[in-house]
Amino acid sequence: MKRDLMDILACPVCKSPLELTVEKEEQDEIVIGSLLCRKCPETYPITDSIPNLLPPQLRNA
Amino acid sequence: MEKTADTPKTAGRVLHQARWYDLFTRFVSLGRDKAIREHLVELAAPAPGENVLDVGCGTGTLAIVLKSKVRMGDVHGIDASPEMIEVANEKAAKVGSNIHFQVALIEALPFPDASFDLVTSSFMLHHLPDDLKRTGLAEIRRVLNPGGRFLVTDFAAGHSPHFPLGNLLSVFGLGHAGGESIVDKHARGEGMVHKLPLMLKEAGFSDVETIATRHKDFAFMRAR
Repeated sequence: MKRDLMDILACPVCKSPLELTVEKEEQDEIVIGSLLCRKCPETYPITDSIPNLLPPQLRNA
Repeated sequence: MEKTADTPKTAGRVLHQARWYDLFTRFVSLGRDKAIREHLVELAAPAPGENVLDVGCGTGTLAIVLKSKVRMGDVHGIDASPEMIEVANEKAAKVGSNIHFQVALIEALPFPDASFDLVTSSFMLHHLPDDLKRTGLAEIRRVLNPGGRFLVTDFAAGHSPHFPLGNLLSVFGLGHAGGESIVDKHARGEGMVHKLPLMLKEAGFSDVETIATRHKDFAFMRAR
């Protein structure tokens, strides 16, 4: 995902802004990282450049 | 379509066969998928600079067309299936289209209120039980700007007593929703498109229009 996606992404549960943590970035693409909602609090993973914004209770572990 | 380890615990049906999906939709639509998509885009009338969300984007074909229309506007696509989003990203990259795809659910959209000028949904709502449709439609209304428009297309109900598309769906194991065969529902004239205008109004939409087209097996609706 691109960094400018942070301008619009929100927590799928409470709709609060998310905080980005980058673990791997190639050129302008965030390949691995996470998105934190401080209010919930909950973390959403970014893997293979794709943010997974499924609510925690609806994910399949 | 079998569930995989990545299947979210949503009550809606999640499709995973992403590599075959485009071929499947061509077959199920009897080769009319492109014409139906073009008709939806024509009715949606995306303008340059508009921000658009395609809910249940599948492999991203509609999102790519929408991006070509809005140009500098942002296009987002969400789907419950990670496999679909992976293919959508690949397809968009192949044609140099900068689209934002995320794994997300219609009932929990990861966007603030009033984020989009246009939301589209094609052949997705029939995968959802009614309670999820209501939640999802309210979410779509929430992320739309005031006056923003929602365009939906899905299988029409009651057009044919035998509903050939429903029979085709059942061949692929897709003809069931909520424990009842979609074919059976259509035979009784109770396809979901009959309920959709009321559901849209209950979700806060106004100006709900059912648009007659030459594609009689498919329903097109527009709401604000």
